[in-house]
Amino acid sequence: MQTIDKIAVITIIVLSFTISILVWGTNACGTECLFHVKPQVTNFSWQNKAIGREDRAFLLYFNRPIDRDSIENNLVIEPPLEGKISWSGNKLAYTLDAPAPYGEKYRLFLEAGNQQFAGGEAAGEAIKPFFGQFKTRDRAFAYIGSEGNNQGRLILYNWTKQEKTVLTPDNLVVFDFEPYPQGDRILFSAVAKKQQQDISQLKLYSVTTGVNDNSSPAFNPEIQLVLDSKKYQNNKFDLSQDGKTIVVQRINQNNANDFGLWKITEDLVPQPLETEAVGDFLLTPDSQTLAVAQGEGIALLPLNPDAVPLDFLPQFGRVVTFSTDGMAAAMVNYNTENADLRYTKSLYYVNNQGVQKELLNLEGSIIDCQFNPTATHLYCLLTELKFSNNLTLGQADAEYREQPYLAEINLKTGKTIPLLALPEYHDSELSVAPDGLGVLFDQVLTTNTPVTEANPSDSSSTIIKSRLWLLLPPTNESEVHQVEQLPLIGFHPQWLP
Amino acid sequence: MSQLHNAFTLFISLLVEAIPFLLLGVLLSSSLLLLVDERKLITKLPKNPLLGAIAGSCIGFLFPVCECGNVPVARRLLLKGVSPAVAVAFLLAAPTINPVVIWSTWVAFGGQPQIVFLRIVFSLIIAIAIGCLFSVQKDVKGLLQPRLIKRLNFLENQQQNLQSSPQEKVEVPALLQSGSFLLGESAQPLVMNEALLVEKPQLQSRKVSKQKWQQFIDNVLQELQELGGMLVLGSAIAATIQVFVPREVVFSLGQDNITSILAMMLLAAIVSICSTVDSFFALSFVSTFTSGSILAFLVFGPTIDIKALGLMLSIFKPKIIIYLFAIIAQLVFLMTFVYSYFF
Repeated sequence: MQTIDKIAVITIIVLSFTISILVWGTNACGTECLFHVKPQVTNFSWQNKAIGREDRAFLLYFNRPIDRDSIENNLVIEPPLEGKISWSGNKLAYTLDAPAPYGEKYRLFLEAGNQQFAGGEAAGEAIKPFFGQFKTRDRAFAYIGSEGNNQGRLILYNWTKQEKTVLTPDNLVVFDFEPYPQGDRILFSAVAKKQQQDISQLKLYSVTTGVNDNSSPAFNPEIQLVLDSKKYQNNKFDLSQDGKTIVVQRINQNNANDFGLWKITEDLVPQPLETEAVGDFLLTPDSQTLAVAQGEGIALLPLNPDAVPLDFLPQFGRVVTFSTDGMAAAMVNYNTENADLRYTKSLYYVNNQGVQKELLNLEGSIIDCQFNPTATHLYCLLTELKFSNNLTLGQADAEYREQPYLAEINLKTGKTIPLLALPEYHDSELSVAPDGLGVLFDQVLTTNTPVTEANPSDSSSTIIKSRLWLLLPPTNESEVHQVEQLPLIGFHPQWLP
Repeated sequence: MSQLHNAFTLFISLLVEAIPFLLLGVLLSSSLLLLVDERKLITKLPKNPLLGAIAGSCIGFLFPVCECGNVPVARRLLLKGVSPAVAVAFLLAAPTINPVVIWSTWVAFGGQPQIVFLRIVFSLIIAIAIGCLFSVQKDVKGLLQPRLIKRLNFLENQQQNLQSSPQEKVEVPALLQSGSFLLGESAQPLVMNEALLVEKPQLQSRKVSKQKWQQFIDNVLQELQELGGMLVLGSAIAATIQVFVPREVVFSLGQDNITSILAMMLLAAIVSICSTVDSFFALSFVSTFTSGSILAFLVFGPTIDIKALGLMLSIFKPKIIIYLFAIIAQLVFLMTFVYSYFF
């Protein structure tokens, strides 16, 4: 016998002995062995997190192969959130049917369930019970004040906490704003109060909102200058859905021919996009592309200087809105090609499957539209062109008047339901809550005197009275839409995402 | 008929998967033969069995070969006189401890980094432990196949001849020696042997390189013929077993933690899948087998499988392979069982 034989045999014997002891020990103490790790949840992706509309699915990781039925039957979320379960290996994914209502605390229980082995028919070892918790972000919206000391200031209303906070100082007049994706900051354009008639001095700022920031009890909004107006005048801007890119339309203060779109990324250095002359624009939900009105169509441009269009949609003149998931868009066709439909506008539903569906055709205007969170309905501010005889001056004086109204379009059936006629036409926007609670809009009464005071409006008239309203879609309790006037004076309300 | 068809498909797929790696291993082995001076190699490798085994385990990083390609390289190392600790550690570790395999395991199991980490650690422990164990055998010939011993003896004799030739030159008149001679270079006729080729490369560099290439090609062909035959045989056996013992039968063995590990080790031995791609194969069992048993598959498969057993028989005596198989299986079981107890 050689040395190797002796050593090998001794090693085999020692290892066999060790294995026997281990196996015997494990069998002897069953499932209550010291240090024995039970089948359990090793990670819950939403544990102690504040989630929002972008969070549509959570993951539960298990350390062992699991009897899937036993887990599915025992998984409880309180208050209930409807969703679908899918599996990938030892990972359970729960995808919500709709975004979770905001401002709620949720608990997740998994009290029973079993491990499963490939060849085992009988139920395996019971899992260690699991308890998880998460919450949704506070329900909040921002608007521009139009009364007293709050005129022209950006105001945040935290619906969950029923708190109103003025975010901007008295010396700034806010023109427009857009919240960042997490709702923690708002990007806004404003001028100093003493220059408020000079829109060439609009600067871009960001301000913190304090929503979901529980670190300090006394919240103090922090304002940061994003873009100055030294050389260029800043017009319309759009913030990408990932919050990393801002696109601004700018004109050189000294040379009106130097006009175009600029991109600002996280380093806050503006970079001209050098595109051809463009009109209205909107960043797509993937934050990578810009949809711009170019000539008689919509061009999709990548966000690089001198980029070649990725696509061109000649039949549409304007992109009104995109769905949050980027799968669909609402677009306007001005019917310039069709003699029978000339001077009418058609609203189209376009999706990434190649579907182009005409939703409505009207003589009035399409002011604004927004998808609901699940992209099943479209809410629109539209106008109806009304012909009326004005006899006040003692002679027949025919005039056209645009009557605005709010409508809901069911995208599956294509049916349009006019919901509410609004008294006065005004450049307005609506805002659909990220959790689908309701639609915010303002009702503004204006006077046709020249702009002399605060509260600039897009049209050349001054706002004298402006209220915020909330439209609530049908729920389990109520089968009809309800409209609620909010005790807040201001305009341009927008939900925080 | 369909079973025969299945067996043939499996056989061909095993071969297609393994032959490129075998070829790579043979090419590496042949390059070692020509490019590496064994005296330098041996002096550079640590003498201590533990350090030698560690060094051997890490050589895989330089030669990314799987469990088919490592055999010709390990055989070459043994023929070059490298200690069994280094060669055996290389043989066992190289299929796992190499950049390609670590990367593919990471791609498959990035979500469970402990699997990637423990696959490396367990494979290293096994390779080093067995490398140290084999170092107790001072006479390497006790481990090897008689054919390989013959070749080793031949090479040793040749080596001794080469080393002793300068003295012979002094003792025996040149003209009394047999062989080819070069005249006219100096007053003495020159003997044309390998020592001369090493000593006077400037004289014969073109001839030498031609000769070396010839030797390289001969060696590649010889090793491919020899190991390729073993691979074909191993693949045929592995394919046949897979047809007669379907995977479902193996899966049904996994009734608890212990049998799951054993089932996956058995599966690893039977399917004989190459270590560069086995992580993706193992990934499909994540929902049905414990992570301990997946780990057992990933550690055991690259060291021992039916396809590679044939190749290993070209190096070791059958009883040595039985020792290897038994000790590796026990170590894999022990470590993965402890793992599944704690995680």
